[in-house]
Amino acid sequence: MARMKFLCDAERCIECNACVTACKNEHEVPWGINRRRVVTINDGGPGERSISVACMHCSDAPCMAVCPVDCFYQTDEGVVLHSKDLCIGCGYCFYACPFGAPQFPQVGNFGTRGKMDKCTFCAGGPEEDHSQAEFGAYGRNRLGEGKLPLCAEMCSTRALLAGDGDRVADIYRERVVARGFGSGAWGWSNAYPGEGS
Amino acid sequence: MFCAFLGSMRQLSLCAVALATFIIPCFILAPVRADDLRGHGGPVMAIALSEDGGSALTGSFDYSMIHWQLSDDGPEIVHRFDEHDAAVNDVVFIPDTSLAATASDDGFVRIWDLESATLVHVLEGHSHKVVDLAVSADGALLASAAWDQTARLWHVETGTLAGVLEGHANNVNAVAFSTDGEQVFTASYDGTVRAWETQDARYLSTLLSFGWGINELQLLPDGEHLLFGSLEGTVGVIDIEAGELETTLVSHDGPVLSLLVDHDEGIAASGGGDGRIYVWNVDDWSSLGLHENPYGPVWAMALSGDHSSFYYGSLDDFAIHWQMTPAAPYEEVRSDFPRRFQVSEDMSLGETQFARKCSVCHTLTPDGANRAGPTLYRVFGRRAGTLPGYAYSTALLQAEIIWNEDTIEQLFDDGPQEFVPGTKMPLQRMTNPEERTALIAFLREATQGDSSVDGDGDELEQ
Repeated sequence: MARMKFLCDAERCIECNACVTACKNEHEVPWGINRRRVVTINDGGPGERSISVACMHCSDAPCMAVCPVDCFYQTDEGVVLHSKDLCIGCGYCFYACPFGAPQFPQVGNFGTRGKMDKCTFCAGGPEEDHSQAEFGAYGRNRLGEGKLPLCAEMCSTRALLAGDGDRVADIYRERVVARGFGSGAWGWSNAYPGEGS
Repeated sequence: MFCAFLGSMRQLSLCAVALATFIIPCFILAPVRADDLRGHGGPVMAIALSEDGGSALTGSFDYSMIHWQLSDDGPEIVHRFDEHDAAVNDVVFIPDTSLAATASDDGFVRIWDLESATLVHVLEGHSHKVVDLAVSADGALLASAAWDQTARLWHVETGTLAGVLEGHANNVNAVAFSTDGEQVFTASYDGTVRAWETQDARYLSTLLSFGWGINELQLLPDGEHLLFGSLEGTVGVIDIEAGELETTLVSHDGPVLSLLVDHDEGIAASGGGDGRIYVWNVDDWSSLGLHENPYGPVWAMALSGDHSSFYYGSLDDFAIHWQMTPAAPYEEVRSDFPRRFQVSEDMSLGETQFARKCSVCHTLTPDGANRAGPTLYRVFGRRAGTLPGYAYSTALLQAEIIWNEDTIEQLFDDGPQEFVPGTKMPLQRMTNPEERTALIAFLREATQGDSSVDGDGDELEQ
């Protein structure tokens, strides 16, 4: 089975935020929550780079290691998902994640902590596939429909790649060879240590 | 053979390294040392030491702050403050007073009198987790950072609001005062560090636009620079006057979760999600050492009174005491491993549910172990809100519920907030009826008091 991975080529990202909008619209993500965002470093200066960031579905996911209620699980395709029924909103995963992926909605009552929300690689959650319960809590299960994450599908410069990790790595490698340099795959080695590219 | 119990590839790789070197089992029987701060029932997220080093404060996931007396004989608990309704994220001493302050997931800041062990003020205003506190050098003002995208300033003496710092585009993670207290600095998930005028809470300037979120911020001893730690692992120094990044020191292999700056000794340290603690001399940023705990993140750090050692919090229910500089040639990692919520394959379905979903906050023994929730020992037939010694919410105290199969079933079917609105219990549902039934059957057996299961859900030796 393919190991699903994201790759953001910072040499190509133009900070158009289409990935952010596509994700929010596809999954009907609540107000105040962005599962994906674009981070710009050295903004306005030499070496400016933009990177589209969400959960990278790490091989050795640090969020899984710190969760006190063990609410995370990893699918056969390597996608890191979590159960909102189990999550107690403690925020440990927010701090453990090097990509700042976990998001926490603001809730009305003091003492009630919102459930964590994050990118699902468009793979839904632990509820029944394609059910209303799954869509309501986790968003669309595009992977279950044989489709890839919409953020990458929408990327006009193909900066954001999603899919079989080997195929994604091959595409990036070809780009590096063609353009003669390659330091753009930010976060890849952090998310998938020892897994090439 | 025990590797099947491990919960992550990181742990597997650690075991592989260990096995390649020495033949050791993957179950780590953690040694207990008297100088660790043991008393909490959940991970320690915050540590502060008094100026003279004679006492300490710790805040924990278990909803409490503990006040410790430190001496050569070891730490002693003076008092456990458990009035917060959620995890305590930060603790600070208020200089030249007997007061201390705590920040919590419940959205409140509380000010306590340590001498009388009483609550002095509840500071209301934030509408989300409060995650960091700073106090001005004269002890007059307190600053709080929260995930409602604001920081707030409070008068310590009266407990009243002194100002709201609004402008960040996302969670505010950290605050720090200038030496003279005339400015306050904030750091946010939006990637910026901002300066504000304390007097009128007026925005002054953005000192840094880093892109990646900033988790931690501390003023350095010269008063002219700030030390920051970011979510992608960078530790760096900001020149306040110039409003620019002066240098970066190191990149953790994971987020920076804690910073320590000692103004007397000129020592700074950063703790990360990678379990590493880097120590520097702030005069020239030369390295003073590296400490490593392979099992977990470094949530909090504090230097001991004589500067020879430090305490840090990880995923354990205690703060670990290690030698500071130079680092000891060998330091025991006292972390229990695997942790109580990490399940093994030979557990029954019901025991697995307890271990994963309940054990972080509840025991099954007469001793509640200061966890966030009350012990479940003999819970069947008990009226809700009646266990002596546990700080229940008003909702539970007023609830007319007797715990039995039906009420526990309903608790997890509906979720605590539906079943008892206002409870401190986190929102957690079990939507699978088979799992609920198995958990209740397990609890029925294991909470009797004469079962073969201990408080951590482990089988006792016969």
